[in-house]
Amino acid sequence: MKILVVDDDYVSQTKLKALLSAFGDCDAVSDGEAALVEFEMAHNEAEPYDLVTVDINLPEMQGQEVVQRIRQWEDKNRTPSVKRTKVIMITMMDDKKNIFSSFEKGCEWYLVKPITPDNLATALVNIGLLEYDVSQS
Amino acid sequence: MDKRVELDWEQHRRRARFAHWAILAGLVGLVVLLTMTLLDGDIPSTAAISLVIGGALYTLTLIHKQNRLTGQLNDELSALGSETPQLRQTLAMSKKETGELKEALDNAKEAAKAQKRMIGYVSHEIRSPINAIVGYTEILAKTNLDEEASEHAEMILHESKILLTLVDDLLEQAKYESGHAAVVYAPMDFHAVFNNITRSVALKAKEKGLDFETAIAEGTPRYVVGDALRLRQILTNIIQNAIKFTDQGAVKVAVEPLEQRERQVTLRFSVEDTGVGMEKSQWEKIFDRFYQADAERRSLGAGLGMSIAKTLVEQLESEIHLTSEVGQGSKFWFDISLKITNRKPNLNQSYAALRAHADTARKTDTPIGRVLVADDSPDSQIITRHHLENAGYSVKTVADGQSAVAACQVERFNLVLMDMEMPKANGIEATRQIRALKPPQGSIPIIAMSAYASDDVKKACLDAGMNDAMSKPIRHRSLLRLVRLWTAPGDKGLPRKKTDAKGKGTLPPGATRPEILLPLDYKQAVGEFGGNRELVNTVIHEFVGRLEGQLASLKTAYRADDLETIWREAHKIRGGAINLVAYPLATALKHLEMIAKNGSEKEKLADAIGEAEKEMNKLISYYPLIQKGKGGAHEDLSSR
Repeated sequence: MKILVVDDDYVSQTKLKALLSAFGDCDAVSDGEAALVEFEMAHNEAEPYDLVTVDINLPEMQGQEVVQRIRQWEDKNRTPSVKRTKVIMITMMDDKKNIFSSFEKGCEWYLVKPITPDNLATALVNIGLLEYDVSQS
Repeated sequence: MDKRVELDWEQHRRRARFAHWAILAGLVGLVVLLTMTLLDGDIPSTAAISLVIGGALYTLTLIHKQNRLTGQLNDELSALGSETPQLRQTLAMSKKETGELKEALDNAKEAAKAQKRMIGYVSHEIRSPINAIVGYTEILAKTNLDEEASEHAEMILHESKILLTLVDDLLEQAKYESGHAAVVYAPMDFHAVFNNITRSVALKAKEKGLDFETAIAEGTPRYVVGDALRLRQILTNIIQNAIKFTDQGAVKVAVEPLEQRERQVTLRFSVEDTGVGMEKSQWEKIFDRFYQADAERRSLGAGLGMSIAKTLVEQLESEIHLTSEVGQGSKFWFDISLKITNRKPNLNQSYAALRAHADTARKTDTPIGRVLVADDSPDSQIITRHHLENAGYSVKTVADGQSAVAACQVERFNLVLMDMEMPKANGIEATRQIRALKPPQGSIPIIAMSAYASDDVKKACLDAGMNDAMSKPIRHRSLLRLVRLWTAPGDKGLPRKKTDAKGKGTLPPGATRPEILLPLDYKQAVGEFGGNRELVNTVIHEFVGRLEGQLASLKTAYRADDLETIWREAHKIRGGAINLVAYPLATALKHLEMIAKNGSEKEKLADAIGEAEKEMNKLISYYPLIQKGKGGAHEDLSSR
């Protein structure tokens, strides 16, 4: 699984990388422009990201716009063989307005900081990137 | 009346029955005797016949009497019958008259009211042109006028000032008599109010060369609850009256406590002069409107002063007494009961009360407290706001629990009034969330407002961390009582500044004592980083290393008034703090974010940055402990 972490905060980025590395190859960038570049390049190399986590509050381009641009690109360059990338929005603002607009922009899940292994695992299970094995627990 | 007629009928019937039997018996006797006489024609029968005839005659008399009685009765009855409509008519007429009288009285009352309104209205209308006349004449008098013109201008000025005083007095009278000006009770520094009142009139006494003495007797409580403005008007009017009628000697104004119970004191105010005095026959008249004891002294007013004073004293449920002697002087006094308070009112509060009088005080510049009203009913909001603002509080209203919590995070209030039934987090839920906030916000007094004022509900409120509860609909008095109680500084544990950094403040009842938070929960952080201690150590090192620079940029942005950058920077640091389980710093930063986002005043912003800095420093000084593995509960670290 290929994962891209988009977060300008050092701690969050490191944490996400540390946690998500357990599930696949994890890249990280600190702003929206870089994220879109990475995203397109991965597609061009026929190795698209399965998961992108986007911090809602980024410098320059805001997290919601990043998601929107990803979705726009996907719509324009759609091929039957390519699956839609899953996006998790990461935020500290757990108000309804932000949650709703984030989903409207096209994210699959919404995580409120602090990020913990538990809530991240829950997110991955819910967006279908992680199989939850009942026998394990 | 009907009853009496019935009784008479009963008597009449009895008599009639008796008469029938008598007639019947008489006839039977007559028939028997006649038969016997016809049969044998005996001598004794003559006697018998006379007996029978006598009986018959008696019977006839009886019948006649009966008839007469019946006739009388009938006469009476018919007389009664003819009188009844008359009586009814009289009754109806008296009813009608009563109605008319009542109507007339109502009309008179209404007319009186209308007259007063008229006086008020006309006075008001007259006031503006007179003001203009006074103003322009003053200007005119200052210009280069010849002696005669100057004299005339002075005359106009003098007369129009008298006119103005008259109109003002009339206006005042109309206002108080119409009951428009409600009695306003507020805490006051009585000594200050008294001195202020007397000082304002002292000048007039001085101008007349009079001694003006004031005295506050020992034991007069300093802080009382009362209507300072009314007191001022009463005293001013009486004192001015005294000065007016005194040409030499002194005017003495004194106040003394008469009777003092626990929280209540009766104060006697007296104004004594060595003036012209008056005869006993004038004593009562002096309180009449437009009464002038001495027509020559008219220049000082319309003769309304004492009448106004009387009205006002009566409104305070007391009365003015006086004693006077011609040539010796007069003494006026009245007693007022006031509540004692041990609370020093702030000056603004007293001014707020004064402004409430003036009807202009919808919003005072310096509110005596800030109250958050969380209520989804617009009606309740309006009523509560109205009462509180009139009492000098500034009010913010929100319509749901969530907004109440948010408002508490952003702004500082002295009190929250929380409706129990609200959308998006009810009162209980919102209270829990507020109680979970950092001390100054988290320990704010919260009063529940509920339509269901059962003990169970109250208990639920207190359990949730509220401080008090009151029932709806909101009553002015109970509302202000509770609000004053819970905003009173010190008394009831309002944590205003009491909660210092060392956490010495008292917890509100019902609030659970929060755990003492370490600057950073290392164990938890390691767990959150998937158990990778090395990584956590590196991240903490990096994070702490950046704090100084970040604080500097916060301060730079603060100096540049760059709220956007402050918010952004605080938000960013908070993201790291949260992920490192450094909750105290995260909370301080959240507060800062809110303040920056809402564009609060600089003072608050500086405070919030200061708070954040404090938490940063704590973390920085805690960091070496982590590195050395001595960070309190971090045995994980040392075992590593």
